[in-house]
Amino acid sequence: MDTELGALTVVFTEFYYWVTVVFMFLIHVGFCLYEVGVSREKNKINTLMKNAMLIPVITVAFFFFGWWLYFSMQNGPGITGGLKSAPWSTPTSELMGTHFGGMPTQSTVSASDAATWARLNGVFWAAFLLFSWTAGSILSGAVIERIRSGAFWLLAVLVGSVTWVIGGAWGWSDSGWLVQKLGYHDAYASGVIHALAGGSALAILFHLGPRVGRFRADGTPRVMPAHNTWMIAIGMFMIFSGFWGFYAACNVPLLNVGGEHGTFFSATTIYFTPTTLSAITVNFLMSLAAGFIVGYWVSHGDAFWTFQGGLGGVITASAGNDLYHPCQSFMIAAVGVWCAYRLHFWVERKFKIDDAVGAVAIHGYCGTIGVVLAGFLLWGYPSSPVEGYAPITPWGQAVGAVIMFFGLGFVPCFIVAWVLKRAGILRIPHEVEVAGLDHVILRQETVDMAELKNAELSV
Amino acid sequence: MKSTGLIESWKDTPGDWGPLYPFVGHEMEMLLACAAVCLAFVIWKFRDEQRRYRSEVDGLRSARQAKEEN
Repeated sequence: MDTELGALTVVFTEFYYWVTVVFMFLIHVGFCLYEVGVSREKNKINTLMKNAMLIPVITVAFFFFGWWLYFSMQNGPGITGGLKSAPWSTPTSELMGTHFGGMPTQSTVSASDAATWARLNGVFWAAFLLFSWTAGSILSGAVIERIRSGAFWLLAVLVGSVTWVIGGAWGWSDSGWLVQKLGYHDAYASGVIHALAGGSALAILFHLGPRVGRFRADGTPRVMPAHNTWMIAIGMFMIFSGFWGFYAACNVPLLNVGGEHGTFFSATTIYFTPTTLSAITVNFLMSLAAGFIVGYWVSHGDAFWTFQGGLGGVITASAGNDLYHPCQSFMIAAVGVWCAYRLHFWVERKFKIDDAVGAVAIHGYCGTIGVVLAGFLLWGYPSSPVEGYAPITPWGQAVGAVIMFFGLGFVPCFIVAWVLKRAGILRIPHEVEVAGLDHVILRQETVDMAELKNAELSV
Repeated sequence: MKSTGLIESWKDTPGDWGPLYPFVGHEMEMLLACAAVCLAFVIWKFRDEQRRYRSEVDGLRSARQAKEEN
């Protein structure tokens, strides 16, 4: 910080991530609006609180252990090495507080750690935390109107502060073992967040069961009408807006990629492989466009699936949107949304899975398909600037996709949801579900309104 | 002058400043205090939820029974 250019670089990077965090907050606002809009009138307040309280719950869990897990688990541990030392990421680290980068007071923190992390630790932490909220929110929509909030928050912490963070450590870091050994490439988190959270949602839905009345006696699903279509539309637009911030947050804004050949500054991915904000902006929009078109097409103009299609399109192309041509982004998004839409209804009919917002399809299936397709399109590309890392391959991507969807997504949530179900604290009682989760508040409101009317008339 | 922090003057060399927050060296105690609040919240939430749903179910059942009797 003692030269103007050096200070500008650090403060620019600090400010860059700060801006992405503010943008990404819109994702959560959007998820809240969207989810409440999809719920029925009798459940809307509970639905809002269930999702809103995910913010503090995941935040403290991520502060306590999530951030440390991201750094410490990059080797597996036990695959490319042991637990990694990351003294800046523990909740008792002095580098988690206000710090000027001078001599550290804790013996575990080196002078170099202090100089590097003093101004970046907090904004990186926050950017990762916002990804964690997104992972939790993906589950939230799928399970509305019948899960207990306490059980949901526990599962949200599992996904938001443990499993996705481990997925990120393995496949979305510059030295994760999946990147080193399999050349796993997932630039904008198709797999490490979306496939993983989608797989998690599917496991919870398996134990949770459908909402009362969702399926007819012959097994065909009934439509459960959303109580506010406008909230859904505005919520989805906000999610799209927040997704811009997410894309920017996935990049390193300014890094020397010149290597032995001199100095050349560029934006890079989390793997330190070069890309440009310009390219990913075009690819984001082309995949959004393809998702919208195919969503509209396959659903014959259904508003819900058109918006969801837009989101699914971006999610499918995200794994390789750092390198694709816009036409490739477009086609990959189109394929992903078409497959996810078909798969959603097939799984719904076959297994009676009641996914209230199509989260498993749009996040889980689109994310998984996107990771696999990236393996074919980016076949042979180096996964890292570091010598000795495996290149990107279809089989590396396929193994990565399975690990994300099943290994880190489906399996842990399947076990925890089963335990919660056995303990009788996963699902709300049948009577309450039928009456509505807000029935006490709504009844009291009716009584108060009647009393208020009488009081006004008597004046 | 007693101080809760390590900074004695803002006129010292900024490059030498490390942690600026008060009570440096007590991070573990502060963490345990935060963790205790969170743990208390989790326990309260699960107990409250159990109690609330039990009472709601009782209320709904007796309302239904009263309706059937009438």
